[in-house]
Amino acid sequence: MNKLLANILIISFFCCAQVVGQEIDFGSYSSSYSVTLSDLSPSSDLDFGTVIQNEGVNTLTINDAKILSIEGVRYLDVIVDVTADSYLLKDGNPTCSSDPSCRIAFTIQSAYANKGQNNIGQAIIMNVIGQTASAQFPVKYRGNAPPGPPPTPVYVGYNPALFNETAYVYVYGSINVGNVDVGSYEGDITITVSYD
Amino acid sequence: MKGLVTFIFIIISGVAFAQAPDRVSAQINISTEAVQSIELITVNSMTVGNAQPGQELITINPITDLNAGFMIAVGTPQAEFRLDYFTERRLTQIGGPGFLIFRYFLSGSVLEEQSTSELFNTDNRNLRFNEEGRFYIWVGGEVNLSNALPGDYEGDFTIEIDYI
Repeated sequence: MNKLLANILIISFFCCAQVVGQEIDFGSYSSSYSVTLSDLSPSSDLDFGTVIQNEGVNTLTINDAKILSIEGVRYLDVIVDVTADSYLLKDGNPTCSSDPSCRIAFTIQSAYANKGQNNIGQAIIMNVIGQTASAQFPVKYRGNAPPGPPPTPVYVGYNPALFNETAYVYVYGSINVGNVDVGSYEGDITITVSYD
Repeated sequence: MKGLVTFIFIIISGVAFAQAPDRVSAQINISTEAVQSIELITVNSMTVGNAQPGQELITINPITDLNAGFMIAVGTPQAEFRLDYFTERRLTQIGGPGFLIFRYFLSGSVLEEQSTSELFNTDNRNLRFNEEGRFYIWVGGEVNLSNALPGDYEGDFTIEIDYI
């Protein structure tokens, strides 16, 4: 019986060593820590204003970007995905997604700044694949320094403000206006943030 | 002993399947308004005609004078637009050194009826196309001939229309 138990324990530890690997993933504990995502101007759209039929490419630069703030534990990395609709649809009508006369192509661009300031001069452009811009970065930039200490455990009287920092995400892009019907066009961009 | 095996498995499972990290999301709307491109059609050019001997000032009233130029702007029905133009332009003498300064007066209306048009000034250049997407413009002006050399003069007139 004792021999049987020993075999079971050995098999179990091999199994779990492969799952965890060599990485110390502080994010495994990040459910104890909160992260918040806020739109700094929630009442406004990413608005291209009035465009003219067949106008071609119309771009909103980072200077015109929608800005969101990410507040989280400064030691931790966050994974940010910014996913946009491929087309703005006339009056938001889904049937227009396959009708070139009532859709306007949209290309997403996004950047982040994690040096503690809302400063586009410090912004780093995110990689875009398809209609998703993605990046992984520490909430507070650490330069070439090694990763910081493990997050302070949540304890009685824990004050997250002492360990939090704010990073900023800039969302912008361009539309390509072809021979489309006149009218209002709209689409959505979804931003998701999680700890690594 | 069976109880001990069960306990060990619970611990290991707890590590392997740690809680999923928090995920927060937000949504942004993208919007734009597509409008029809603006066309400006010249129906009649302005006709100044010949000055009479001793005549120092030629005036073409855009609201009443049949010699006024006539243009139609075509755009998105009911859309607002702004109209801009240079109020003074230099006309150069054809084959000579002379020139004239022409002051333009424009009037406009949503009706195709010159007498209903209103004179534009710097305060009322934000306008709106009618329900057919049309706006009617008449072009007049005045020129002082007191220092003009005899001859023919020519010049151009630029008008800009942009959606607001």
